[in-house]
Amino acid sequence: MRAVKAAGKNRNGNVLEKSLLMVADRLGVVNHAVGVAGRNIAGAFLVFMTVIVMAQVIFRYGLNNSLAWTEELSKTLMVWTAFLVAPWAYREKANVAIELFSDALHPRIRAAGQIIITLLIIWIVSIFLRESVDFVMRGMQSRSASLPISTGYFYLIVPVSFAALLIAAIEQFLRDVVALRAKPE
Amino acid sequence: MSLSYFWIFIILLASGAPVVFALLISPGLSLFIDGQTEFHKALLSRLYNGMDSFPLMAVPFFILAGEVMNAGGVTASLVRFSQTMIGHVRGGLAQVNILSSVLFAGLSGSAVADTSALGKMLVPAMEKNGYSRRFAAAITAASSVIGPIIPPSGIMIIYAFVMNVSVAGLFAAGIVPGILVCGGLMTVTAVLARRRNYPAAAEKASWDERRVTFFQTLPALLTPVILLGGILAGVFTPTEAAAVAAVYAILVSLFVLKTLTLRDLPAVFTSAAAQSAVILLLVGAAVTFAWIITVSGMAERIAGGISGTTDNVLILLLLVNLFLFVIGMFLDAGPAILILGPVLAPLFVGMGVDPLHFAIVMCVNLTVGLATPPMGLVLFVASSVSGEKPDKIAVEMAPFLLVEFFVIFLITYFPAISMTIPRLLGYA
Repeated sequence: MRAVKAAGKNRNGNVLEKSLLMVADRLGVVNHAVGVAGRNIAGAFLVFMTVIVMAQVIFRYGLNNSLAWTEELSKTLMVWTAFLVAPWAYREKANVAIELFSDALHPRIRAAGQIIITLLIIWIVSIFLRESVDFVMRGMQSRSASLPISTGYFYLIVPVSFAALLIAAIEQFLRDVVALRAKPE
Repeated sequence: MSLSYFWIFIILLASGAPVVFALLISPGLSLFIDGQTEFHKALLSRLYNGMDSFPLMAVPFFILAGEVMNAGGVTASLVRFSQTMIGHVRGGLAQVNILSSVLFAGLSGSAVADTSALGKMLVPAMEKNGYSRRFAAAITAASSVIGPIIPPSGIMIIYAFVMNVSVAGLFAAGIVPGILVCGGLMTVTAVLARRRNYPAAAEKASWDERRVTFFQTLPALLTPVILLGGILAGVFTPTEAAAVAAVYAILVSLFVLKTLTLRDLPAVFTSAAAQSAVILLLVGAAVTFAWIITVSGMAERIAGGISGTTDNVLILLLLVNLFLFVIGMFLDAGPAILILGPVLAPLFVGMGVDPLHFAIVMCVNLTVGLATPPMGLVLFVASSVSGEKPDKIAVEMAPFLLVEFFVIFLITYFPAISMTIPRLLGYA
């Protein structure tokens, strides 16, 4: 009954909300798939890291032969796990936040604040996405300390991660707009 | 360079922005306002290089080891062992809860893991045994802060990484303070148990039973021996020790305890990778933020402001402890160390406080902060495993927190408490 009344009062708003939500849901499907894939690959990388560091210990003590490449490779894998998980963590709200003060605000003000935060996240992620291209290019000029490739290849995950974060943040922005327009319960 | 990033950061934090983004947006926006956007590329490379560290890799491996032990039922065997040792005293299960936290602390470096693992087992058991659920949740939360004080410790690894002190030395410094917290909590529990007439958990176990459970628990109890022995003897770096501990935990759970199957492992690895990634990103972002604190001269200003109040180092230590209590009420230990460590530590080291001593004071203080209301991760986890409201648990926890504050003051003003073991081992 309430829904019907609301629809009669603000038909245009409802169409807008529906289309925003539809776009957000489409993006959500992509973001979910990308996020879960990133998290699973990160799990596999943790297996490799464990194996590599164990190999480092075994070679040093068991075979009396220190491996030169284990540290660099394993720590690069670790940085990759962080960037791989970042889009998932953002979308699942797994990052630490202090919600004590914002929870005390009026729902409308909180929703408006949320939009500003999401816009700022979109802004900083876009800047990092742009800078990361340059970061990779510069990396291509220098060689890795222990592996026969350019360090630029190590940095490839950075633009990929920020691109995925950007799409996730856009989805969040659409949902924030819908939340601001929704009547507080 | 202006200090606008500081205010932007505070506003973002208070509005509920994820800390990791607040740490990145505030310097980014501040540079934009000042028209110095050419430094944005420096922010990105700090973020990457802030995570690109071999010592920091101990964090994912310790998280992995903890996940394996939880999934593999090692926690349950620790509780059984504690029960045969002290379950027969008055308030038995409460004491078992504390002792299990100490044993768990030697395997894991996380208070949250401790609360969630022990809380799930012991809160229902304590309630059945006649304790209020509130008290059960309170003692679980209060005792779980021992987790990151007794080594290994995720918080100490992060501190050592940012502030360039020895992880092994910091681990060694945590042993006695951790035991002191345990002793303090056990004493308060004994007094409360007498006053409130809490029951014993079981008949006194015979030495035969104790021997049997001891040998059943031995594989788990050996983990801290391998870990600390290896690190302190210089056999492994802390990162390697953490990897060895994780592999050891997997082998014990798969083949000795047989509580884990190969099929469980992918979920364990994925969950550990996700948890550590969240922490690593925070470290990278905090390194970025620390850079702008240094470049803008903020660190010196704060240091100047603090040391302008008095030049008595004993009073300053008191002030900094009170300041950290307040910070600990709102911020997690990890971010607090990453943001404030580079500001506070140089000030005290400059006044003649041993870097390792300041490190242990700061780490213990902020670890206790994990359990203090209104924002305390441990408190929230205790609430979610018990179903009690955080504020109700916090009220029950008051006497335990007082004891923990007392221990912080002891280690602040009697450096020998924490520093004797590191000194004997040559770390200080």
